[in-house]
Amino acid sequence: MQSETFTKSFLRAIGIASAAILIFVIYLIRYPILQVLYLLVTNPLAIATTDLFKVIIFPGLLYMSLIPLIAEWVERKLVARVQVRIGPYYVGGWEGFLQPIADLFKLLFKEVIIPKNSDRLVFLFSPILAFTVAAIPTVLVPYSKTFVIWNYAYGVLLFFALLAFFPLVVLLAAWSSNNKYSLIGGLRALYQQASYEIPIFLSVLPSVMLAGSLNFIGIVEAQARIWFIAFAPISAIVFFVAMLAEMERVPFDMPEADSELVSGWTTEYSGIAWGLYQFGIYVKLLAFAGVFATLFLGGFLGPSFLPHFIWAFIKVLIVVLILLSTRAFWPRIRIDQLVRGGWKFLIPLAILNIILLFIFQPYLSAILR
Amino acid sequence: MDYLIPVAIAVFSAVAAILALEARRMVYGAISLALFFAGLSLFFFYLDLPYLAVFQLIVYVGAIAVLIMFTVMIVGEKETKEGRLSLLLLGVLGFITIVGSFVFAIEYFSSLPVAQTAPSFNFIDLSKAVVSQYGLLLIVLACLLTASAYGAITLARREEVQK
Repeated sequence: MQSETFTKSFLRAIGIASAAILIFVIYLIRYPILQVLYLLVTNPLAIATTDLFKVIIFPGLLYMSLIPLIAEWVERKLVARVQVRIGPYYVGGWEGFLQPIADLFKLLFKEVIIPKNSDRLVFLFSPILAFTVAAIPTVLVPYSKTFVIWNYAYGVLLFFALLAFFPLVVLLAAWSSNNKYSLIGGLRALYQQASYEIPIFLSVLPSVMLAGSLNFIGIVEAQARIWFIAFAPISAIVFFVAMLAEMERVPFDMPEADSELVSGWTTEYSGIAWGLYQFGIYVKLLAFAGVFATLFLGGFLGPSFLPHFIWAFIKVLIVVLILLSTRAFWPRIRIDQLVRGGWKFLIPLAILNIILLFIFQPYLSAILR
Repeated sequence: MDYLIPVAIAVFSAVAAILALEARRMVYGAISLALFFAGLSLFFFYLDLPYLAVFQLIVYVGAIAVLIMFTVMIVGEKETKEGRLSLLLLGVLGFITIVGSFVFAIEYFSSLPVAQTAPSFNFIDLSKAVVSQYGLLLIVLACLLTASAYGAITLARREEVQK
């Protein structure tokens, strides 16, 4: 009973705080809003170049919330077909394509159960933090020269620095649930994410070296003649594997191994709190897929019969699809195999590619420019 | 309005730092420490030092704060005793004195004439110097750091055995 009143007062406080923040934000962006309203009357096509459109619609919030919903349906359908099942079928008529939205509404109306003796404040705050922390790095990923929310000079560094917050949030969620499965899952997630950050940094280095820039758009423009995956194939593979491990997807899903740990650090979460975690993980997947496409697959570049942002979109979707398909094709590995694989194989391989680039550097500069 | 941002960051960092020391539960202390590091990084962003800011985030928030929290969770937290108010007041007084003297020093020195041509500085030169000129020193320092880490682990383990 006490926890119920606490939940209610907490939600009320969150509601009041977010309303206040919303009003303050609207006050801060009053001029962009007026600009969009003015453009709506005079030149509706020019709205796409305004900052407000970018933040709210295309590389921003709407896109970021729609793609996870679609990705979830695609994943379920794909895994089902591989396992000779049908998958979601009824909701929405055609192949159950509205199933994720039905799930979203189900989660919204379910009760968020707070376990006894848990740290309630941290328990309720960490899902919100998880979604925020997963969504913030997405602002740095470019979808074309104009469709990028924040074109920061040190974007590559900042992207991975912001992702460093995620294990902290996972650990908080795990600790505050007051459950042994959650804590074990959280500690495993921490091991995994901390040890796979090193191969990720090392495998990003070849692209940065070849482009001579830490800016995502600079890296894309350096790939005008040939994609960097041709020079750094080993790094691309290392980045892909480390990316799977960072996102805790199969075959690296030990932190939420269903058969061992119930569901890892999200064991005690229910309702929309759990939904926010899932949402956050899919948003992180989208961000990582965008970075992979930018660093190795030429980003938004492509033949000129399609606009830049459509090329970026296609590449990101292909990477997302490959990332999702691993869940159907691979079994889960053990935690010791994971740690050994990270330290003994991925890091030396990433360093090998850097050394190869050093050796062939004189020839490469002739090809690139 | 220009004054508002650094003051807000400063207040945020100071509150987080005080909480990191004074929080009753160790996990809250660890969270506050992470927030304090994030506040420092915001300061560096405000001062237009992006490298420093980003590495502050990667190293301190991504590694140090996580490690501290990891340790707290592995060892198991003990609720600390309530701090004495007089000590807290003493600490706040000392803090104000130190910050005040710094502000006074800055005011004093900024009134002195300064050489206008500051030496130019860039990260490429710094990296080259670290790798070439001070390369040996860097390796020696790294060995020293590793040795001290091993020493700390050894000391900690011995204490455990004696219990």
